[in-house]
Amino acid sequence: MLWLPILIPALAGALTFLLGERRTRRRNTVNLIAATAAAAATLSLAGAAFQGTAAQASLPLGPGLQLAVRGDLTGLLFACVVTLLWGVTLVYAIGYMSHDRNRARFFGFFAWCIAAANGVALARDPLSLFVFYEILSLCTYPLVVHSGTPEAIAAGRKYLLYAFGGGAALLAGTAWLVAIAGPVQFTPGGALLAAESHTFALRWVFALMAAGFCVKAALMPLHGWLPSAMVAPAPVSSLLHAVAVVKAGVFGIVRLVNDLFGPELATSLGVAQPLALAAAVTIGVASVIALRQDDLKRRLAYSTVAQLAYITLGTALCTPLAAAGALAHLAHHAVMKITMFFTVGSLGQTLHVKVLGTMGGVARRMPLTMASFSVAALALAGVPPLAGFASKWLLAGGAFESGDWWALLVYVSGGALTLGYMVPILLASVRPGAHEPAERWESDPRMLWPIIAVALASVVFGVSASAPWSPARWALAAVSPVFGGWTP
Amino acid sequence: MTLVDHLPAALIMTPLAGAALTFVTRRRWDPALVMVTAVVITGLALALSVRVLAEGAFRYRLGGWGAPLGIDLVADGISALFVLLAAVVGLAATAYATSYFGTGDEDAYGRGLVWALWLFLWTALNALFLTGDVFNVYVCLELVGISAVALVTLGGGADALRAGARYLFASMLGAMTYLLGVALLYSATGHLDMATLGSAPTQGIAASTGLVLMVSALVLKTALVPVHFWLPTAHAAAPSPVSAVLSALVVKGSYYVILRLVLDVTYPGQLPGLDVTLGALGAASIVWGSVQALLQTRVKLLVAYSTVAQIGYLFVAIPLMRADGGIVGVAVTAAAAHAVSHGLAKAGFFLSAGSLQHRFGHDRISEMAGAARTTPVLAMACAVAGVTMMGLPPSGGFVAKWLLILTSINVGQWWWAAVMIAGGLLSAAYTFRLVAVFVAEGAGDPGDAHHPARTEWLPLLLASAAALLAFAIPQIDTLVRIGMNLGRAEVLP
Repeated sequence: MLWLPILIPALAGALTFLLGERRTRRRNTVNLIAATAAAAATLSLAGAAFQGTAAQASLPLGPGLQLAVRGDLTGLLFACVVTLLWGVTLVYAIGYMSHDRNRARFFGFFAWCIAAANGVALARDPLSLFVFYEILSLCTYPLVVHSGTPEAIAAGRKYLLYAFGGGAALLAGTAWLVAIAGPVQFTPGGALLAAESHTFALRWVFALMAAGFCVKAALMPLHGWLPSAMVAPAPVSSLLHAVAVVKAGVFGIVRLVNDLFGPELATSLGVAQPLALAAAVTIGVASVIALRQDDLKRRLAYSTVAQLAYITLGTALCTPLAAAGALAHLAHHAVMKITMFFTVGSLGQTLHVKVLGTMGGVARRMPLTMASFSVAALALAGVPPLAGFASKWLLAGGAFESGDWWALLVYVSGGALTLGYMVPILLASVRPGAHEPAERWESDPRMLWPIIAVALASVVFGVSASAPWSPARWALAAVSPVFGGWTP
Repeated sequence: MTLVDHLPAALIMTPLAGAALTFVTRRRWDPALVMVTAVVITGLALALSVRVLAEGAFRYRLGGWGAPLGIDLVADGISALFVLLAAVVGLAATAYATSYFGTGDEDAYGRGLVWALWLFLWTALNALFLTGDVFNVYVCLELVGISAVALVTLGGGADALRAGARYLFASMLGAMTYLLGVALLYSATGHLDMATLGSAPTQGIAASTGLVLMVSALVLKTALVPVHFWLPTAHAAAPSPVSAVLSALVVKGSYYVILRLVLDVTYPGQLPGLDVTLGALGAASIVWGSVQALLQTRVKLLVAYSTVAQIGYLFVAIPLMRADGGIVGVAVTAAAAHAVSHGLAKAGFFLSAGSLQHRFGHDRISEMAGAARTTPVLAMACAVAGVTMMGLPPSGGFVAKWLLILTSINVGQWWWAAVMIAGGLLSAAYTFRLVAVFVAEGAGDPGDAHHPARTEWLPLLLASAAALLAFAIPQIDTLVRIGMNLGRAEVLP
């Protein structure tokens, strides 16, 4: 049962390859059925986890070596985000890619990426996480270089350089960890009690593993690959470079701090503070860079860099509320940013609008799309009562709790900068311009409805943040065991 | 004695009989005959593994004489594993070759001689994996070398002949040096049987010199840097099914003997510095082979240099195997897993390189843009094989590398881990250099002729088997430990 969220997309991917390029309808059916099945499986696992039964399963891979998964609340939150958004993105991608070449390759690797991201989410120990993390790196490459243009190939090379560099650091850190602490599993609150005396080695292990995760989490100065990877088709930018891949990085940091070292050890070793500092700097610098981007996708990419750093910062502060806020932001940012990338993809595909300067009139030509975008943009800036507000409220509460006033300042100025780089897009879209209403409104319905759906999610997650099933509540429940059964 | 007791002999006699039959049957029946032989060998190899798993290692006295007078065959876990690897790769290569050698004109590839040579090579390999004494190893190595050189030159052409001559030189030099070593060892100990040699290790300069000569000869035959000069040209110039067999199996043959000498014949500390020297040469191979692979402009040369690099990992495992004064079982498993994983992946890599060369009419990397669109299965096969080269999960190469890295940190020799991690990055660089060309926009192959499905699905199948081998490592681990000489000292978990 626990393998299903990994196995279903993996098989769907293999089947997609076997069906080949021309059987479009069958390929779409297979993928949509798989997405539905995977969503059902993940949600039912989450239901079980809420009942308090964290199931686990493992496969032997050699002497003293296992590939193991466990369905705990933290992992399932990420898995649910990835799997549910996979279904939505599939619908969008089927519309977006309808005239593209190499679609079998695209959808096949797309499904494999989902399988790998779910594996990262459910991995029980650092080694299993590494296994899925590397598979994710590999499967993303063909999607980045999808168009095959020299620009895409160059972006792919850059991506690989970062991804494998990070992977090597992660491998070294994991091996060192296993050598000093044995085959540890992720345990809320920390798993390294027995090895605490190896302070020198543990600091290095943390640095190496964090470096490995920070590449995917695009923490500065390891973010260089993300803006160039925007050359990929919009569904890839939406789901992978706003949700699955980059979130696998921050999720790794969450696991590292909360469930491997534990907030206490991470603080006492003095390794959490530098991470927090790097995240704070990233929020500021990336937001300022985002202000100056004319290309829409690049602007969103730098916004992603900044927002991911929110999650890293919240985790690195090591207080219950901040950790919960980080986890909630992981889910909230996913729905908000995917809305925006969908929108930008729609604009590019339907109207060939790719830069800020040519956006005039698109709000009248594609009113529903742009309305959805506006909702997501405001949510991202933290306007109540939308989703971004809920997570940032928790994050700010966490900073308040630990007395890190500087972090509070970073959050507030980050929010202001978010408005700063989002509002120009909104203004540009209502300005008069070339894109006046034509005979056809909006875009392909397969691209429009997913946008509306995810935009609604960023409203609902914010408005009903106190509902028992909301990501915010879920995050609070997930971090509770990390801090010894803490409740708000 | 029932039939299963004769499995070791049957594994040697079957390909030999097949080879003999190719001379008497009509030439157009050859492919079918060889295919049947290959299927039978694969069945026998499976049966051997099952038997070793069920009943443990056993000795087979050829003709009923027994050591020290007669010839003993030894079937234990490691030999069963290598025989099985040879069978799987051999079967796939044969099926591929029935298409490869079937096309074109009749006179090419030695008028059907290719089939006989291939089965001779298989005979010699099986004998090498099953033999229990150091002199028979010499005989087998000679047979392997001669048939391999002949297979390389079959394609004709100046390149193949030049490469073949170099290969022949290296092969002969290696065999002679090995024989000299055996003679010295025999004069000092009076034994040739490996188990006997191992149970009564002899001190003394003659025995040690003999062993050093033997190992040096095998290092030459395995093409470790700096004596790798013969491998890249030979493996690149050979017809592709032959390249696959050479890279996947033949170099593993001489490595297998080194493994035997290390595990069964020498005892730790008998030859101080040997292990570290082998490890250092292995590390040098990893770096040098990968860098050279990165610089190649032709697919087959890239793949061939990648073999030099991958062989390096097998040698880095050697100092780790004996790091604690005994034998570290994990490192042996890792070496065996890597040998199998690399064997499958490299065979897939070479076969798909061969198909690409056939489709494009050349193997220049820079002119293969668009291959991922027009020949997706072949491009995928190369990429999947690359996963094993890089040592990324879930390939068998990953498990091997992880176990070796962990062992090296555990025993305090972390520098091996550093080399292996760097080697992984370098192999990612050369693999993706190829893959990046495949996925780039381009015309792809001319696509004017029909190509049998087996020329593209077999490479992918082999590469995928290697890429998913991690899930079979527990079985390989069990098999390798059967009959391994682990009794000498403490074994790490």
